[in-house]
Amino acid sequence: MKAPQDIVIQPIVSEKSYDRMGEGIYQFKVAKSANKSQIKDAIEVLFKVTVNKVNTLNVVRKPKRRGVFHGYTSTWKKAIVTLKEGDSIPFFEGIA
Amino acid sequence: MLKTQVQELEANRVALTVEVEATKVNAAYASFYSRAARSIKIPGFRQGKIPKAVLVKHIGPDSVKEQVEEELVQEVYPQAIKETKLHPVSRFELEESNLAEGQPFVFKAVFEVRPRLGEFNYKSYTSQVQREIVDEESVSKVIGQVREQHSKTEPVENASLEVDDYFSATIEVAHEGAVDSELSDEKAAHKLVENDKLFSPCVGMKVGEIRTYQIKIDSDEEKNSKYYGKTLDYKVTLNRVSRPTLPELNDEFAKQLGDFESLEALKTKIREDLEERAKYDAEERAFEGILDQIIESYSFDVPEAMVQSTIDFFIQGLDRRWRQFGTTIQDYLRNSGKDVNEFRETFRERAVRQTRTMLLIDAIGERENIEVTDADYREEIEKRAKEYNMTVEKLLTTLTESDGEENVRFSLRSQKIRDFLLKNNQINYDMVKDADINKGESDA
Repeated sequence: MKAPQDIVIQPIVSEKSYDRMGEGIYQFKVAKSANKSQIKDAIEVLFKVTVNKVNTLNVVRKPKRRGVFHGYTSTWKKAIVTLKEGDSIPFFEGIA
Repeated sequence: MLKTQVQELEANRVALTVEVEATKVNAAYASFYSRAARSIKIPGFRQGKIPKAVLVKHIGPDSVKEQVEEELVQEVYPQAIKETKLHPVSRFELEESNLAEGQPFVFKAVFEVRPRLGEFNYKSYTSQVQREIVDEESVSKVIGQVREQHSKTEPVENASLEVDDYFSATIEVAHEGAVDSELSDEKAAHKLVENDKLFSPCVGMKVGEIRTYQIKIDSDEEKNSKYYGKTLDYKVTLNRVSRPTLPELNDEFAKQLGDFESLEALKTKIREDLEERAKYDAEERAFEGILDQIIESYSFDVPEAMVQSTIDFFIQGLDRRWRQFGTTIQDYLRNSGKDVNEFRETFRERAVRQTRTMLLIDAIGERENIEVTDADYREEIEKRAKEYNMTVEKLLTTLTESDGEENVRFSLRSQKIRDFLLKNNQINYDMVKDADINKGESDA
């Protein structure tokens, strides 16, 4: 079984995610093998909050080229986590 | 109008407290965020679309505060100085500051100002100075110099070599029978001076004559020579002797020199110039003498910042002169192992005196309402344009472009104050011959 730190890899702060932080919806990059309940548990343990909903999606790879070398970016999993009303994650405090 | 408060501290220091309205503070913050959002790149955000909170977290709240504070102070400080009519002579130090978004911003800037001088006497002093006598002898001396400058050096046939003659010769130098090609010269050209170590034995030679003699290399200057302590054999063949001939002193000579009808006209002009110079030099000494007495009689503290900037001015001037000789102050400090501050301190006494003089002169100008009018300025420009051979308009444009107008006005004002002091103090002249100037002056 994976530790919470291995499931939640990093928070995502972008224009799109920032817009929804005020509603208690946060985005994370998570381990590709993690499922929604593992993500829920990991977030609850790491940030001491209650998670209402977890949506996930696999970010598709994109073709990249550097000179003559062709390749792709890695695929990764994004989790969109909705917290219980009134909860917030301290890491994002001062931003949202 | 800003809310300002001025508090006078010790030693020409002033504390200026300024309050900036909250709306202005918010505008400064908004302007900073908007510029930062456009210039900073943060992954996940387009440039210019970064939210304020993300920006603050990225830059750091302290750094934001510091930068906004600096911008606000830079904007407000000059305005506050203008409104309070203060004259800072140093950079300000920010002693108190309470910047916060949405709050009025109060800061306290401490700086040095020009000292306000009290009452001091600058009239009715007596200055005893020397003034050069301009007579027939002084005029003759100048004419002699001009003749020398216009002398022509021409070869003299059948002449025998004398001191002050120019000569060309073939010189062969040998040591123990071996000719040294470096010291030898087929077409040497020299002037025979008095006590010439190498060529004194040539005195009296005729053109075409060959003379041999020996010279011992033993002077201190020749210590590094490979022949030091040895004797060299000289063989000199004299090829030509030339002597300067002075132009004849007549009306023709005067006409050659410029717009003079006769020798008498030239002499009159020289006499006038000498009289003018003697008068100016004597007045300059008198002015210095009066200033010395004013400085002696009235003592006041000079702001350190003004002393330092005068020292800077001295050092820059010195550096410029040294650079002409291919060295710099940095080189000097490096080679002598002196500390830069120690070096600067050697100028302190002079700098304090110069600053004090400048402040006193300026105060006299203010008290006597000595100002430079536009007419004075125009007159000076017309005079200078004539000197530089330029049109008045061209000189005016050049001065405006190079900010030279202020310098010209400053020097005109100083000149007027100098004239005022000379007029309002007693000047006694001791008439002396040129050679005796400065002799017997006690504290020049």
